[in-house]
Amino acid sequence: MEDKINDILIQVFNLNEDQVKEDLGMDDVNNWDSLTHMNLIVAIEDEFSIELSGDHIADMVSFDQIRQTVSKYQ
Amino acid sequence: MLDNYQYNLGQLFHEVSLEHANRPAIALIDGSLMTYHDLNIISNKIAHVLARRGIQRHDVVAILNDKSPIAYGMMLACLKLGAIYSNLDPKSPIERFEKMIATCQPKIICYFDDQRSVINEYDSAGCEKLCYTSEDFNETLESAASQMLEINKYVSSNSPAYIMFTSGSTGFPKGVVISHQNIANFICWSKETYNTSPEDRFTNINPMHFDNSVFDFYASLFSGASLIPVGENLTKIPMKLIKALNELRPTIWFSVPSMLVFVVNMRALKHEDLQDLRIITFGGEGFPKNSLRKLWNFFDERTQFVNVYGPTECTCICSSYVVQESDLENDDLLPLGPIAPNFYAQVIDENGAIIHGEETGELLIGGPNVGIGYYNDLSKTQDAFIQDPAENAHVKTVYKSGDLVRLDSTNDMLYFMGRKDNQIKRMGYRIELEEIENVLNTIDFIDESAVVYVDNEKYKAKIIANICSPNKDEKKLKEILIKYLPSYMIPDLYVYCDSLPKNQNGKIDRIKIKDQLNQ
Repeated sequence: MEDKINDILIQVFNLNEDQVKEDLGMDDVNNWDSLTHMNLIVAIEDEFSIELSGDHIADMVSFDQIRQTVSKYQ
Repeated sequence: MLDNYQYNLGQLFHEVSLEHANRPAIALIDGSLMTYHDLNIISNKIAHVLARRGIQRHDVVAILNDKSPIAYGMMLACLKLGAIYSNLDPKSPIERFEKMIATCQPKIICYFDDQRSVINEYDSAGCEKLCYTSEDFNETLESAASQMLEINKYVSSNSPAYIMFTSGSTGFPKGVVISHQNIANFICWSKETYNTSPEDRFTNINPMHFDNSVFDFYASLFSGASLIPVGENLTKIPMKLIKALNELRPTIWFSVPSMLVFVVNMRALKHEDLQDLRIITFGGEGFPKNSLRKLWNFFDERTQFVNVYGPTECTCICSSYVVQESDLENDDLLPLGPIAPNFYAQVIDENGAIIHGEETGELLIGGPNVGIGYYNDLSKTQDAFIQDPAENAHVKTVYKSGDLVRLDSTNDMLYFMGRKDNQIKRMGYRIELEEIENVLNTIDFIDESAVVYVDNEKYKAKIIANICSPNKDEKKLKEILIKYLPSYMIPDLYVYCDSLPKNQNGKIDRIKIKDQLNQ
């Protein structure tokens, strides 16, 4: 699961592999804006075939929180 | 001074502040309020401080705007001094920031303390910097005089008020200059169109360096209404944004459709949210009908939806259209509406001749909303701000928009049909694809590049850079691009090829590139 989230973050935010770390958060990524956040959520929902609730989406503001949230749906 | 005629915005704000002295001008997310009286005093004090630092009429003041009362006060102070403010993006890449500074040549850059701000990278030799969140500045402000400056009466209506930067095809952002008179007309238009009153509360979701914020700031604070500043971080988390706004009960929301689509798609909205919202107005790009239908269902009939259109060069908005339920029955783009009162529209063909029928052509816009050109760029100004082709007897300037439209003569409705050039919109931001190419072509290991925008089944709204280069080091490429381009301009995909297709004139054939991508 982590690897998949890793790949999604790289793709959505145009990151390099070495930039994705445990504590990577919204403030660390310059282009983490509403458009890319939406792309992120859509990519995660597609990848894991889940439908996230609005509250959970609001929590997904860091790599760690994304991982924790997705695991709740597994 | 002319009595009863507010020919400049400093005077107009002063009058509005006297009339609504104890009403809230700014309603902050934390629940605190600033009255018109206090905002007026703060802006007077800032004007005195800036004047003491040598800022004079027609000097440019660059502002990295954090949407704090001080930052709004700074804009008002510039209006009162007759100085020209320019809100610049604090997160702008340094190279682009330097280009904007080189264009507008500010006397002073006013900034707030933030580790991520471009100001930390900027070497400001020859340009004064002022941190408006510092204790020093606060102390200076406290001791400054609070009365209106005498100089205000010398600010004439055709004085430039602000410079708004937008993408430029030569690789340099263009600084659109808008005058006090342009905005005074815009304020009257907004009051009439939205029937605004001092009871209204406007959201300020749009970043201040983005053209849509002109509506938020001027439609609210110059009509006695309240402005609700929304910080960038809150706009990234729609659930929190809506919760915060539920407390402050906005009545008018203006944003790009993307922001509204974001709120709906992130499941942040419930039927009981934003109960006082009487108008949702949007513009800057087309609103996908699927998302519009969803949004409509949340508000039923309690909220009016208004689609607006207008280039930055024509003071934010030039036309508006109230969405009807029947518009939701098809997937066509919404009409742009009829051109606003006191403005006029003409459609011209490829040879510059006026089209009198309903054929598609380029839109020319005339009237008191037409800005006064591009700052420090007479050549581009002359290309876009041209003599009205229907007028030979005297000077009459119209703005050549580059937008292809159809004008329905039965109801004067304008319909957007596309662009004449390679400009696209993303999150409402104008992007000249050539600006991206210009950066790519300066990279030493790139031989040739062409940037296209594709929005179809295969590529959903993607900026695709087609590159001829022996070096396919994408990591290095991205590192370079982020120094020059804002995040919304960074390509989504990089396609490497041996050569780019050319047309008969030897120019890069973008249509063929798109065809190849779709194969």
